[in-house]
Amino acid sequence: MMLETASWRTLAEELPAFIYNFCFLYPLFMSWVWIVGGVYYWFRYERLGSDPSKPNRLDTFPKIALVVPCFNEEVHAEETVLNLLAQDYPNFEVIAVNDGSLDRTAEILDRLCAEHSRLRVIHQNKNQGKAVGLTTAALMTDAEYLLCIDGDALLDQYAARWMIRHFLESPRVGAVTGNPRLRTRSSLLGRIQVGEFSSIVGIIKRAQRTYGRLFSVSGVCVMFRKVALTDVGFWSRETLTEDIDISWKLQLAYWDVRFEAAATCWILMPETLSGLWSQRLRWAAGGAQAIIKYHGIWKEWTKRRMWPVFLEYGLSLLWSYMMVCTAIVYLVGLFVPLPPELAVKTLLPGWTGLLIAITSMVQTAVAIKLDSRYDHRLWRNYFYMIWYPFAYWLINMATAVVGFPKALLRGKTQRGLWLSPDRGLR
Amino acid sequence: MSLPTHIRIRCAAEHPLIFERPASQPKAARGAMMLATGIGWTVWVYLWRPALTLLPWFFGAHIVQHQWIELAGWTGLIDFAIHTVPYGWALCAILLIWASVNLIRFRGNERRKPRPEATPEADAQWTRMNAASLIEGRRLKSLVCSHDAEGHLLAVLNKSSYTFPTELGE
Repeated sequence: MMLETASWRTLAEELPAFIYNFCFLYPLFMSWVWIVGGVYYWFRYERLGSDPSKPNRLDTFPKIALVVPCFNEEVHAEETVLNLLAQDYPNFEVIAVNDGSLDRTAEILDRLCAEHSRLRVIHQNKNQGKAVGLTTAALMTDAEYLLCIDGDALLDQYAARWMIRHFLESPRVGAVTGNPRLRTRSSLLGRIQVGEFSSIVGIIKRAQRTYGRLFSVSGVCVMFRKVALTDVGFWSRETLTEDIDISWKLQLAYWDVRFEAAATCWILMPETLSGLWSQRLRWAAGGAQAIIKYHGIWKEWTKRRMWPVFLEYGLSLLWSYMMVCTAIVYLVGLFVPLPPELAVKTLLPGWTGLLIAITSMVQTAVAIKLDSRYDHRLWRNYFYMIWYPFAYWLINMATAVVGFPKALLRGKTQRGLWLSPDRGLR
Repeated sequence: MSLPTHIRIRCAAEHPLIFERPASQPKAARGAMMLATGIGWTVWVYLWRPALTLLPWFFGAHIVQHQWIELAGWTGLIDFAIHTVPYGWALCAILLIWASVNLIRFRGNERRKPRPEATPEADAQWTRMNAASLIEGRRLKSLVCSHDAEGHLLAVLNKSSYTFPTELGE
C-alpha cells in the first residue's frame, strides 16, 4: 500500500515535468527531422531531378484529364480554365465540373465549352460537394490520368509533364502531389502563409517522402492514376478534407504517393483572421477525421508503414492539448498557489526559447532556399516570417483542440460540402 | 509583372500572377502589419539575450548571473546537450538510415507489376449505371449528371436535351 502511494506520488511529481519537456522537445525534434529529411530529399531526388530550367523529356504522352471542380466560381472560372487549356502537353482534355453553382459559373463554362474543343463541362444538377464532383469527372473520362486542381488555381504549363514522369517510371505510383505557391501576398497574414507553404507544407512533404509516405497530398494540385482511384473506390463523400482521405486510402492500398516540387500551382489563400481560422479548422478537423477513420491500421502489420505518419499526427494533437493545459495551469497559478512541481513560473522561455528561435528561423531559411527556384521573390517574405513559429503554433494548437472533438462528433455519413473561402486581397 | 522564365502562367489580362498590393489594405492595417512584424523581430532578438550574455562586460553581468547561474541555464544547456540532443539526432539518423536502406534495398527492383488500365466495367461498379451508359456519357462534350442520396452517379444526359430546375436555369 505504501509502495503504491509512493509510486503515485512519484508519478504526480514527474508528470508535469514530462509534459513541460514534451511541449518544448516535440516541436524542436520534429523541426530537426523536417530539416534533415527535407535536405536529404533535395540532394537525393530534387536538385537534379526537378530543375525547372530543364523540363524533362517524355517519350510517350498518355492522355491526361485536367479536372477543375467549380462551385460558385464566376470570378475565377474563366481564368482557371483558359490557363489549363494552355497546358504544354500534347494529349489532354480539360473537364470543368459545375457542382450546382448558384451564380454565373454554368453560363461561363458553357460559353468556354462552345469555344474550345478540348474543354468538356459536367453539370451536376445538385450541389454534391468536391469529392463527388471529382469522382464524377473521373468516371466521365477515358483518360488514365487525372490532374485535379481547384477552381481558383493556376497550374504551371509544364506541371503535367513533371508529374506524369513519376507514373511512367513506376507502376506503383498512384498519385503525385504538386507544389502550391501563393499569389496573395499583400497583408502580413498573406506573407506569413507564403513562408508557411515552404517552411511547413513543402519541407514536411519532402521529409515525409524521404521516409516514404505522405500524410496528405495538396488537394489543390494533384495527379492520380485512375486505376488506383478505382481500386480504392474514388474519393470519400463524407470527408471534410478529401485530399487527406484519398492519400490514406491509396497508401493503405499500397499505392505510392509522391511529391513533385517543379509542378507548381499558384493559389489564393485567406488574408483575414476569420478566413484563416475557418480554413485551418477544416484542415485540423479533416486530419483528425482521418486518424479516427484509420485507427485500425495499428492492428495490421501490413499497414505498418503508415504507423509513423499516424503517430506523428497523434503526437501533434497531444502536443496541442498539452500546450493548452500548460497555459491554463500558468493562468491558474497566477491566482491560486499550486504545488511546486505543478507550478509554471513563466510562459516566456529562457535558453530553451533561444534554441527554438534559432531552429525555427533556420527551418524557414532552409525551406525557402529549397523552394526559391520554383517561386518568385520568395526571400522578401522571410522578414515577415518572424511571427510565423508563434502564429503557426498558436493557430494549429487552437484548431487542433477545437477540430478533434468536431471530427469525433461529426456523423460518419455526413456529406462534406463546399465552403466559400476568403481568397485574400486582390 | 515580369516573371522568370520558369513560371509559365496565363493570367487574365486584368490580373497579375501575384497580388502584392499592401496599399490595398487600410492605412491602419498596414501600420499594424509593420508594427506587428517589428515587435516580432524585437522579441526574436530578445530571445538571443541568454547568448548575448556571453559578452557580459558589454551587456551586463547580471543577465549572465540570472539566466545561466540563478536559473541554472548552463547546467540545463549542458545537460540538454548531453542527455537530450542525442535523442533528436537519433531521430534524424533513423530517418536517414531508413531512407538509405530502402534506396539500396529497392533500387531497380520494381515491387508491383503494372496494372491494366481501369475499365468502364470496373468504374461502373462505383455508380448506379452500367458500363455502356458510362461509355456513352464519356462521348458527350457538355453533360448533366444526377446522383442518388449517397452521391453515386445515377444518370448522364446530354446538356442540350436537359432542362434545369428553376434555380439553375440557363
